[in-house]
Amino acid sequence: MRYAALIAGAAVLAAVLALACAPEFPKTVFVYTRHPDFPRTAYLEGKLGVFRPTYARSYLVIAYRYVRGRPLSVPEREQVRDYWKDRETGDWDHTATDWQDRWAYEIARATGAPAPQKKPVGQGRYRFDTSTNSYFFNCAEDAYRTAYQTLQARAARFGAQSAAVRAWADAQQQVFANCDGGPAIPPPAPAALPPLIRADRDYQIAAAQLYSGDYPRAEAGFRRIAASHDTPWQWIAPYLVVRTLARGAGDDPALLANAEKEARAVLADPRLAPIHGMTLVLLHRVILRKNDAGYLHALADDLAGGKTERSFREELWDYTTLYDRFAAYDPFADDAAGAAIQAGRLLPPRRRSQRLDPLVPVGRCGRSAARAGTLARDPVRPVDGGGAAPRLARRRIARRGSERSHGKSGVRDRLVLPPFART
Amino acid sequence: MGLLLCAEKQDGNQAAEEKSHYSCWYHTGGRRTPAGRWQEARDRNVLEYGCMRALLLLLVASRMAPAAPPKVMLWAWERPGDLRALPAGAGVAFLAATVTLIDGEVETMPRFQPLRLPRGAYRMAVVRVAAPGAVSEATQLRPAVDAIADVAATARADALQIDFDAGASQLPFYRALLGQVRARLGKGLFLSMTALVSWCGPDSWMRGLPVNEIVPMTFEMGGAAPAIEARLRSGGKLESPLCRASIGVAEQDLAARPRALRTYVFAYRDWTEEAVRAVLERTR
Repeated sequence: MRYAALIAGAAVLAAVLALACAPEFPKTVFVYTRHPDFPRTAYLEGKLGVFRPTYARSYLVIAYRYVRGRPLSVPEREQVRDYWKDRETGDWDHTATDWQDRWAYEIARATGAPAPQKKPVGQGRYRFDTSTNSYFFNCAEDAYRTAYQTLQARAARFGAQSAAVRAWADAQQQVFANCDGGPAIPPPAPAALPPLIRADRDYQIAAAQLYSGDYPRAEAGFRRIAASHDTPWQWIAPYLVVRTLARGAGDDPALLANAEKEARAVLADPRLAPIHGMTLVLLHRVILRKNDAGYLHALADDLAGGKTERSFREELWDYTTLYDRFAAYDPFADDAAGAAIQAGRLLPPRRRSQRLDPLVPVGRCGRSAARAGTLARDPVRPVDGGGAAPRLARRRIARRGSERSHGKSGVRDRLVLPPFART
Repeated sequence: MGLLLCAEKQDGNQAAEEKSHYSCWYHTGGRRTPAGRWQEARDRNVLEYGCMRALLLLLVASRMAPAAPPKVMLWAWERPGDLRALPAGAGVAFLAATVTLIDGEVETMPRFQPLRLPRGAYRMAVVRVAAPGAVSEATQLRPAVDAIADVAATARADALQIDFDAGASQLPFYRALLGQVRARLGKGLFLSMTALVSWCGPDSWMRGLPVNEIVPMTFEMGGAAPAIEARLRSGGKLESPLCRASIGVAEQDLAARPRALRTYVFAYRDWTEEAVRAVLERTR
């Protein structure tokens, strides 16, 4: 009896003293619940296999396109990879591309000069605004991708060592100097340069003015490009006019209304269909600053109909975020949304709009209870063409568990989301 | 006061007695001193030169000495803020960036939340340094200094504050960091640092640091709280004299803290006009 009492006491004591966290043992995973098998390239190219309703919705959108007989185009697939990179899953199948680094490598190779150095804080993306004492997301990754692809195209046409390409590269370096510094505006192109390089230069000058905050001149420059038939940038210039107006508007209602009017004119023009997607995102994120059911429907229409060649990444961001909000979707408890997509609808069942809680509870044992959920239901708003800010914010979430307690921690531990990027 | 003007003479013979090949005159309100009165002008010039030199030295000295912050500084952490109604006599120390030392690398997180201030307000850029693990001078010191220098250059603030709750093993790194930041940014910058109250003992490690100011943070003091709290509430001061000139206080503790030459106030809520006015009243 005495031994029994001792054993019982020891058991109770052991239960009290035992670590609350059990050791983790490796386990075999036969089928993934939230995403397709690796590498995801096959899935992206339409070899869907047996896809499950529990997949994150971005994967279900891809499946939806294929089962509807509207396969993703090559640019759309590229944008999906960038979306995966935004969600920090790009490394899963080693397909992520850092366009900024690739640009730095390419420009160094083309000019023979050392690769441009990023500023430690600005990182070639963030510019400090003295009127708001804060940094803002100035140069999105798409800017570096476009520059990289343009450099390759011009080098293929004129020769990598040609005077034309050197002039183009020098001007582009000046454009990017405005991303986290400047101002630096390239001079007008000499008449001796080929017409294509001169047309590029007009675009570079307007871009540099946009990045340096000289919005009136940038707007005028983009309007001239939009009106010209002798430039390869005519197609995107109307969007850039809207973007410049939106940036320059700040919080001024009259100026925002002006930007909205311009955006709606673009959306109403069927000839500008290639820029409708990006204009739609811009209109809702930056100008209207609200996300309503109408926007969700428009996104669903774009994504389902293959109208998103240049803006798939951004629209997918907004679509999945909005879907979460409208469906109040818990990826680990509710398959209704996935089932809805499988059932042929890209829209969730109507529910009361739910405000997402930006706080992500950190679970015991160093694991975040909502960590996995965060990836599928990220509260961080997307930014134009970039995705760096969500990445940074998510890293902050990941680190919160390991931060030491110190002064002002009560506020520091609050995840404060970056505001809307300035497009 | 006039202006001493000199020009190289075309004809050296004309002014041989002056033993100079320069012609100088004293220009006062458009009247030029005649050449025959050179000696008088020269005497005046010597006097004038002395005055100007003294003035220049004063000017240089004033440029060298960093402008000190006002008596009350409000900490503005990463949240949107509108302090355009900030009264004169108060400045703002705003979080400009966070530098994280982790896994042998340095990562930076800029401030994204807008903070609006009145024109001419005293602005102090704060760089928060976080180091959850071991730090390495070999790999992290230079990038960290680069990042801090980048913030100082970009924000163009009146002063810079470094906020690093370094652990005991990280203190040599912190000392080296401050030394290199000072060397990089020069003596013309007002450099402030926050301090844990546990650093404010009689043998503080902070002695000799190249900073203009040390701000002990007398809130959220962790394990040191009860004893220090009791001391501060009874009107006592922190042991180290280094920690007495300035003080960091949470808004709600203002009445329970000793007076200092300069008070930094932290609020757990958004700064409003009323809150700022109340702080200024209480620190008057």
